[in-house]
Amino acid sequence: MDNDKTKELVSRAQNKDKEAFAELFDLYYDKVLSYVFRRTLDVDYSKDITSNVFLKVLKNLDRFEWRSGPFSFTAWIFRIAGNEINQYFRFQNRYKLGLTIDLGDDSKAVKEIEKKIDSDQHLMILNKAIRQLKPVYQEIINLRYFEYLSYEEISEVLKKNESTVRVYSKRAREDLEKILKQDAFNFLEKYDF
Amino acid sequence: MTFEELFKKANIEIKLDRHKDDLKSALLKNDYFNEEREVWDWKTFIPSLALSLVLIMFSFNSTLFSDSQ
Repeated sequence: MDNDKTKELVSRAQNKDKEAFAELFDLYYDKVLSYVFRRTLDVDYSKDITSNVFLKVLKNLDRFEWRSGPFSFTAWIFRIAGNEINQYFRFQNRYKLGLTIDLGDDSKAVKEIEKKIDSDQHLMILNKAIRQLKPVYQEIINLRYFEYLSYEEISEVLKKNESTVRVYSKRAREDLEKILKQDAFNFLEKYDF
Repeated sequence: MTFEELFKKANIEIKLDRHKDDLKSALLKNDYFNEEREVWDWKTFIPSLALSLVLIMFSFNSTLFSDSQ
């Protein structure tokens, strides 16, 4: 979707247009859920965190302004998601839910996802290695290689300038390659980084 | 296999349709959609602030004036 269309939807949603908000929700739900899931690898927590992210988006939508750049709405949502994920890691069992109603029983889908997680060696090894990186490197690697965000977008998410993000991204990749080569040597013999 | 290809292999798709639908309808019922939008109207705010300051100064001066008599 082009930036002008997103701007129009945001502006309408700020004026309490339900249809516009629903469209924005459809646009971003899968992206946010995937991003949260890859950081937590827990389906139930991913549901809770994603719910909180969208509740915060809704509650703070009035105050959102297109200031920093062309991708600022995407960056804003990912920033909220990043903060929520950090809250989850900080509080774990004490992580609070904004919505107290029961949301969607996807038990069949959840079981399939959990099966996939357990059997997907690539995901397990990569995730274990990513978790050994500095927090800021983890975020950059996830946003860059899983969410395919540009350096410009990542710089807006992290509120750092683009050249810093490029340097961090290079270092994150080098560190990750080192970890993968040390820890997962047997499995990754066939890979050529 | 390259670094990017490894990420592609590890990128499993996650779909939770019922959660998505239920969350959307819960959000659309939120009070947000019935509230007035909070907007700072500087054209109204600045004259009101100026008027308030004038009134404060006026009452402060009158107190001083009555004390000195």
